[in-house]
Amino acid sequence: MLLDILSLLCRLFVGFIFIYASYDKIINPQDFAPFVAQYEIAPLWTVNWGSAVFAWTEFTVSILLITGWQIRPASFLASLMLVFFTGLMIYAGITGAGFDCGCFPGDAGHPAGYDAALRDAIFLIPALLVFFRPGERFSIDAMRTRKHKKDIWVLDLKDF
Amino acid sequence: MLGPILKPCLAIVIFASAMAIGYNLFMPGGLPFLPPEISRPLWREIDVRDALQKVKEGAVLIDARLAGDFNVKRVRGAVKLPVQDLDHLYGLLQNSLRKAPAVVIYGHTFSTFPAAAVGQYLRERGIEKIYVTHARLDDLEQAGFPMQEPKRRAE
Repeated sequence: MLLDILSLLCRLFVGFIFIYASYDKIINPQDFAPFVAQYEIAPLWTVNWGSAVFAWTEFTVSILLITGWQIRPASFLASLMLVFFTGLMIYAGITGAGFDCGCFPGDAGHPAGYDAALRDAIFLIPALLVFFRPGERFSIDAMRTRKHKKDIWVLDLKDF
Repeated sequence: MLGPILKPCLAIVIFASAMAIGYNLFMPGGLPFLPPEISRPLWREIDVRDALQKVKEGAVLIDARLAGDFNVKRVRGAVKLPVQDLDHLYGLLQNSLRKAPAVVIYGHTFSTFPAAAVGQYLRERGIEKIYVTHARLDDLEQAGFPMQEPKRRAE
């Protein structure tokens, strides 16, 4: 029961973090692509579309987490992305990048480096909790499971 | 353990990719597959040997890399003109660029091609004889361009 509520809170937390991180990247892709390029990890010809696909993947995962549809796959992808971000921020820290990480919208700036790596590692904890203990409260997955169980019950009655 | 979720994960990524492609193709302000300075360049490409020759003949050499990279190492005599400061510095440089017999621009990394962006910007403003090289700083050094490494202040 408590774990279910904790799982729900973690799912909503990660979902809203990803929505907050992705909406500006989707609306202003021209601004986000240079952030991706500055890490120097993707070939020039992949930067524009790679950054767009990344932003849309973040957004799709966030919607799935919030609505509770395909919770485990969505939380798995969220965890994968957070592991990637953490590694990227550590890399930025090692190379002394010092530029804005481009993670979140706004002019305040979130410098790429060890602090950002720690933040992403902290975000990874609830994402992993949702993956290992998806929970079913307030989710489309739970509604679908209930419907499935109901269908099985009807079949059982017919059999008898 | 991961077997049953791999297919939905793949479906999510495919859906997100389709949305990204659709949105950027059809929405105003969408991101093109390649930046216009690379897909539809207005500048002329030049190899490193010809670039050296042009500079010897009096062409202006522009360094389009980030100001921080310029300050660490650059070709001797190169003019700093990073993409981020184009609007600001163009006003100061435009007269000398218009009078120059040619303008050679360098600045190319794994993920960025600022020389192309600067070349496009200058051509769009009517400056002729813009030559952009794909060569990186090491290539320029090997080709015989003299280098300048400003001494760093002692820590």
